[in-house]
Amino acid sequence: MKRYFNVLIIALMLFLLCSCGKSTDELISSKMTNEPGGSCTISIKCDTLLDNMDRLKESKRDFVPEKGIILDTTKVDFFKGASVYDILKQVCEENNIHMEASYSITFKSSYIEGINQLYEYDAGEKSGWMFSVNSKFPNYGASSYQVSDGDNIEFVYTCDLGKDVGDNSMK
Amino acid sequence: MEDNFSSYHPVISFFFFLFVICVSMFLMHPVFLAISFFSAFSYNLILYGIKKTLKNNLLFILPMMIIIALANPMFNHYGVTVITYLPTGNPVTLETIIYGIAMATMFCEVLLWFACYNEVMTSDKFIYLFGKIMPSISLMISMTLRFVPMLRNHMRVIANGQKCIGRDTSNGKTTDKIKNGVKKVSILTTWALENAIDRADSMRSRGYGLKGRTAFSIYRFDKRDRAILIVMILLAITFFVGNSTGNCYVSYDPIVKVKGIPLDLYSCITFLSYLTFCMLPVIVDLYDKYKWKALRNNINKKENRGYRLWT
Repeated sequence: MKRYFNVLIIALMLFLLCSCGKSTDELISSKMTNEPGGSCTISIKCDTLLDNMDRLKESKRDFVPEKGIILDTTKVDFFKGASVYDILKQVCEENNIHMEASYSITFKSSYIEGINQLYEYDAGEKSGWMFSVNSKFPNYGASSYQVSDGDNIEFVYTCDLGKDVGDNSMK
Repeated sequence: MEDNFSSYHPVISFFFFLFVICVSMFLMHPVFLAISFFSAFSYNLILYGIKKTLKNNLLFILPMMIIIALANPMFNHYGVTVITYLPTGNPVTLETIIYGIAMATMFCEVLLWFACYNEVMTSDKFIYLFGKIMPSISLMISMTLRFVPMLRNHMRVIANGQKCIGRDTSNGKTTDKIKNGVKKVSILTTWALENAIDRADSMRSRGYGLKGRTAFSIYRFDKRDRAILIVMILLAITFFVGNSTGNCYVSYDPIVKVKGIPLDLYSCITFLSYLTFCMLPVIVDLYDKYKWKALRNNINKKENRGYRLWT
């Protein structure tokens, strides 16, 4: 009896532990193929933080680069079917930039939580990472946007739900 | 084992545990963690003895610590020192591992403190403290705290009884085993409900919680209680003031930043006050034992006329 009870408790705890984390299995599977699909440019910026330094957590202030440019515009060759998330991941690994993402089940897409130690909510509750392709902000996650040849991807940190980086879709 | 600190007034014990548990739940500074862990462990040694302390900790707390320390880097990925990458593309960093270990230590030391609390703050002390202010809540708390050991004991009684009439869970078909097990649990539940109602009735019939009712207690707030209370309050104030200067600041996200090491004046005072506070029961107990021994030696020296009081 006692042993069964212990096993039950351990199983319950493991289950609870697993359910704490967001499911990340889907992050691995991408629709990328092996054929070359062209090239695009990508940049990562957080210049909005320069105006909002006082709102940023003190421990994170050292991680804002001088001009707010974490990664200058770089050209990337990608495989056919690659998503914006795939390209970001590839670029970050090549340039040794820290990046964390999680898969959100509700939106069936991966969500960029933080780049270069700068996380969502670090500068107030309206802050976080957004991305635009050819200066348009698609209103869905980075792993459900397929990149096409010649696209210009920009990752920007917003402190006001996108209003300060030129996206007015959120009201 | 009865230690000296348990014989102090319940207010003292309660204040001590309240402070120590509440404070160690929020402190993540490695020095504080070490101090709290060391004091909790040594107080456990005094209360339970070496064998039981080690058994309790190695069986439950150590595996728990390892699980927590390993689980943290799986779910958190901040930090500058990347060790490897998970298959999901998220990094495993040194900072999250260190934070996991710190968190596990904190968890462990709080459990150790609670083990001491259980031994020192018996339910009569708790009822003595809160029986007047909130009678029903304090009775309920002391009843719930008693529930687990009581149910465990009664489960054994029921199991033995069932075994005698051939409804055992150790042999037979699996379905029979499950049937008998469920029956045992149902007996236990019925008994527990009835027992709780019985207890509530008996407490009411004795006039528990009525206005003007007095309760017998053997606690007296005397000189040594007053002395230790003053010491505790002074140490607590020193600790809070020292901690609020920011000299014992620590942050694990995104870089491990530890202030106060090497020791400067403020951090040294804060660490010392915290150490003394956490070690108070141990100090009191060891001092008491030392004094007892010294007095006994004195008697032995004086009574040196052919017979001895103690060997």
